[in-house]
Amino acid sequence: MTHLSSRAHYVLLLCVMVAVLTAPTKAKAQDCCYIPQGETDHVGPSLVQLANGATVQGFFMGVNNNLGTYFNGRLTEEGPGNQGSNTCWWNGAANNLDPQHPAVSGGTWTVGSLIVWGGTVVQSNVYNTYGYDYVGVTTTAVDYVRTNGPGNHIALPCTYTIYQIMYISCPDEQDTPDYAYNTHTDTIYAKQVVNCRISNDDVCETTNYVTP
Amino acid sequence: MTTTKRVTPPLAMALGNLLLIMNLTAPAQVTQKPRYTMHATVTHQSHTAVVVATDPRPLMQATEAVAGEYGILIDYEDPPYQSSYDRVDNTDPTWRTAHPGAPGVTRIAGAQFTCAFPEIVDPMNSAQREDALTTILSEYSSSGNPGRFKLATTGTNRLAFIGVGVRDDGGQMMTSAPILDTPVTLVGNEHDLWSALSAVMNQVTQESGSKVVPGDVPVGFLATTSSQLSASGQPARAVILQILNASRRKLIYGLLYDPDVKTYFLNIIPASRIVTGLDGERRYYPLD
Repeated sequence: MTHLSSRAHYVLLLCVMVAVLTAPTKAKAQDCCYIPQGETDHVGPSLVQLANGATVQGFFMGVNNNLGTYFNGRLTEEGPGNQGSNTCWWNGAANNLDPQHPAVSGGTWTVGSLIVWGGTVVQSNVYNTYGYDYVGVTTTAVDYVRTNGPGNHIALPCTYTIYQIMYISCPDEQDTPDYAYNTHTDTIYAKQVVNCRISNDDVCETTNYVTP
Repeated sequence: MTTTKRVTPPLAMALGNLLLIMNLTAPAQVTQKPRYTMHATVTHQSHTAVVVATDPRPLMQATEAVAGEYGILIDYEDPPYQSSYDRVDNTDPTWRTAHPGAPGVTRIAGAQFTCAFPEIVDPMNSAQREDALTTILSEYSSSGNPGRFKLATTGTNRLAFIGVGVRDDGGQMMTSAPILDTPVTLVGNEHDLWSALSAVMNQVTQESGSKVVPGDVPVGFLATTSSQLSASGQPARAVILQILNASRRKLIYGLLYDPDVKTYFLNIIPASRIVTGLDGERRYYPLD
């Protein structure tokens, strides 16, 4: 039989206490902040509310995981991902401040909340959806690239590529983990514009738009 | 000791002579396009920092680098470049061949701009910020690059380089009124921010006669954010800043002029601290 010294007893007791205290806490933390496994994108209307928004595509966004977690009420937020690119840009072009960083706006959405556009409710209280993410460049920018790009060494089609990281708030509001790394592309052709939102699923929409 | 004797073969001599002849017969006025860089760099010395920009709009590129290095808010406005002293031909030769009768395209005639300025130790210190930016402005004005600018404090912890001069057809500097000095009015109180911004651009276009259109703007974000806004004959710049502040995000604007289409493009992006990693990738950390 092995005898433990009083010091060894103390260390053993400490280890047991630590194990007892930490195990449930970890489990609790995981329980209280389930995150989505990704996003679902469905093509919505283009940004027709805007005079020059016909080439900006709305994607109706949803979040889910295989546990069926109810995400309504939690905040999603976008942030910039990796360095983007913009093959529609030339030195001196006036329609972009930072061609390697076609900006995500850093928008926030509340999952399942009212979705308001220009003061009008367009969608309300939908399970695990958070509204429209608009991807694209305005017809003003499309016209500018088509008209001035080729003379400025830009070959059509050309593409804006934007990287977006999505975050979601935890119910205790203590943490905002990331849950999706998305890629958005806007490709300008001579007579079409193709906008894609590449998340769990790759969804693209082609808009026929001819520069006047 | 080893010596080598280099023998020039007859074909190389012939090619060399041919190249020499071609070089002699080339047009005397060749516009050499500077080797532009995608971004300006900021390096730090003991009490100074040095910004190096190489761009058609070097002050704008320097502004972006300094703002991103220190995490400060600096907006930028082009003056309306027009003369051949501020613009150079940028037409793709292949495109020119296919479109012999077309007018072609130009770019702003800026090149390299290097400036050592007093180090900004505390970016929240307004005196340090203004000291640095005043030095940059002063150096730019004597650099030979296009445009004359002024530095304006446009809000709390916010500054702007505003274009106030261009060269005329004789090469002389002349003053130009900043287009965002145009007074505008917002009718009503509650506005979504995109509608308000559109109203500002439309009014400036109508009042000034110069077209102002959106460039890179976070339309979706602005259109889904509403706020109490009011303006009665205030400068468009002040109203734009009111809109940006109402977004409750730290956004900056750049107003860029393209003389080929005689149009101003209003660009709005999140203000970010920019850090270049060891892999060379720039990473953006929004200030808010």
